[in-house]
Amino acid sequence: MSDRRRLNGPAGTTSPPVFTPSTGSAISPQYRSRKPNELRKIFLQTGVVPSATGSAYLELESPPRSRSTVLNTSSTIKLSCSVHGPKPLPRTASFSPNLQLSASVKFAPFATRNRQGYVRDSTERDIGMHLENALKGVIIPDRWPKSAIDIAVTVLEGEDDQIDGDRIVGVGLVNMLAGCINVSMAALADARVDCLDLLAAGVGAIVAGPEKPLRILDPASIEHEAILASCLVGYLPSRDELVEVWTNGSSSTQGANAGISFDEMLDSAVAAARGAQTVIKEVLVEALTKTKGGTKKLSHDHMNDVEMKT
Amino acid sequence: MPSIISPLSPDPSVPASAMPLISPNALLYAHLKQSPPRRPSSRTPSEPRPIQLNVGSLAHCNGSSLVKIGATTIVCGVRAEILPVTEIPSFRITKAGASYTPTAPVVRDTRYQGDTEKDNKEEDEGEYSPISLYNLVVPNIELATGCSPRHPANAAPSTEAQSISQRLLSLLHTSQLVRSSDLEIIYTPPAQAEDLELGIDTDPQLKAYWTLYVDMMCISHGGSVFDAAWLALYAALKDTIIPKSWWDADLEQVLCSAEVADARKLSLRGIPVPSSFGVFVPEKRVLGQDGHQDPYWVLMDTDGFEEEACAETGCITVDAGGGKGSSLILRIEKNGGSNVGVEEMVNMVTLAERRWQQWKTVLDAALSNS
Repeated sequence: MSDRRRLNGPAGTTSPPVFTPSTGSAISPQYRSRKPNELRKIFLQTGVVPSATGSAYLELESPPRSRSTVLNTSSTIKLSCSVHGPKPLPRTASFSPNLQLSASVKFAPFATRNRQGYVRDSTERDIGMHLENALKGVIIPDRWPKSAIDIAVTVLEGEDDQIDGDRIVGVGLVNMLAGCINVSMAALADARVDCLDLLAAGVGAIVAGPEKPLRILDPASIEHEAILASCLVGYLPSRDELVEVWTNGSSSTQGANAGISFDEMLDSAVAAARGAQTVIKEVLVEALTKTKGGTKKLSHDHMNDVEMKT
Repeated sequence: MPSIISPLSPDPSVPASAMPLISPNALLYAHLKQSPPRRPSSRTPSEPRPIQLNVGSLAHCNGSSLVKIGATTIVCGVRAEILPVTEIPSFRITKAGASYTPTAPVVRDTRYQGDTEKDNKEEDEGEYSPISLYNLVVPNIELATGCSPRHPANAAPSTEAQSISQRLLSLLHTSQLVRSSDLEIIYTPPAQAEDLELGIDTDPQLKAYWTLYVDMMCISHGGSVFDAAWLALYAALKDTIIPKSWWDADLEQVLCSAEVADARKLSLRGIPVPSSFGVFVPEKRVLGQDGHQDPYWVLMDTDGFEEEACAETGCITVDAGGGKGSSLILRIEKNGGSNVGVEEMVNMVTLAERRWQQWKTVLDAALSNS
């Protein structure tokens, strides 16, 4: 079944290249150089899509890249998000007293190690659903009856999980969702959509330490050999509310055998979310001061008005 | 409509930012009838927007680029995958053994220098070029990323996206940008295996082709997307490295070396640069009692709302790298009206050459940085 609206390439199947074990430069494992409670640096910028109501671009700090091998294991998260709306619902739609929010996540074909097709797969739909649910917890929907708002996140690059992975799973996927939530919140704020609070997402994890398991913030999968459990939260700091929780792996409820309980892991995720929120807040405030007194910078602001005879 | 004016604003006029939405035609006319004519973005009609280029920023690609022209942003990634000839239905061996010695060091000449005989030979492959025969270079552009209000996310490719992909493909084929010799994976059996009685010869055999998937994501749509997409595609191909690859006779598959030192770059033919333009004709209603008869303006490198206001549009692709003082015109297309005649088209070629120089400067700067 080929996609007739795109160019599909050769009729036969192509396969990704198979590499011989490289002799000279073995892929050296990377270790975490950050402190356990230190986040990766977040680069965030708003207003990247001038024609959208709101938009943002997010990138995590990338680990130093070795340029000697074609195979690259050190990838980082790069996301772009645009918000369109609130706009009126189509005439055919039934009445809705609330703002209809829809969020979608799409991976670029080059987001993963092996090329992905254009057709949306179940991972993208699932992560889009998580994102939508998290954002529904922060907007105030009854301010815009009979309207809709569309949020689209494009994943330009995802984080690798294993050395030979072609799909984004596990911690990579959880980190991606956290990034999606953060970039969408920045774009929503850039669109001046009323929200309860500045939502932020963070990831905490339990990893195997030298003697006993360790609790860390913002885990990057290539930096750790074994991640025992990971946890993502979407957190509203000023209300102390959670709008999204997603945990993977096993952790005990009491913390009897492993020493770290589920509650402690959740706390570290909340701490990571608080850290991310300071970044989002700073970027938004900076963008506001740039546009003088908070007047919304519209796409054609740079135009000089000319007297018109119409 | 006084009801829409908020009581807070002291000036009850329509803000400048809303004019492109209300009446793009009148706005453009009001700007262009000044002397000298200025566009709303305070460019002159023939002035293109500056180009920003960044290469090699995506980790998972063989080559990648980011092109920003005004409000248009395109990210492009090139992936190389292997297509074994056994996968090609009705594969024809067009090059008979003995005359073809690809293992000999191939002279990678550029299009304009080197001996002409060799050049002509390579040019001749055009009609039966494996690249167009087996679709070895696959460009696709994705506009459904929420890049503008007219391109909603989550939708099937629009007609515009399909037409841009198709035009990119046809320009790739007609300009013969990629050499098919760059994409071949050839196996030469060892000499001692030769056994004429058993019919085993040691002629080089073509075992597989590299297939280049060129994927472009339009992050922001601000007009002249075809130009930006082609430039992104060109820069990404320029950045692409193809790993060293060989046929392993025992495993019966192609293996590659992961070393960057072994990998090679593609050698592209020429630098085709497209320049889009729009011809703006004010509506009769807007013209009113102004004296001019049928005025029109040619706008180079139209931005988002100018594109909507121009019915007559076109694109000229030139390559000014000939070195002989003359540039090649690779493609001209124009449709939607009959205001521009032959003389204006000749003038536009000059503007397109200027655009070529601009791109060359940007490209050289970006490639030397990476």
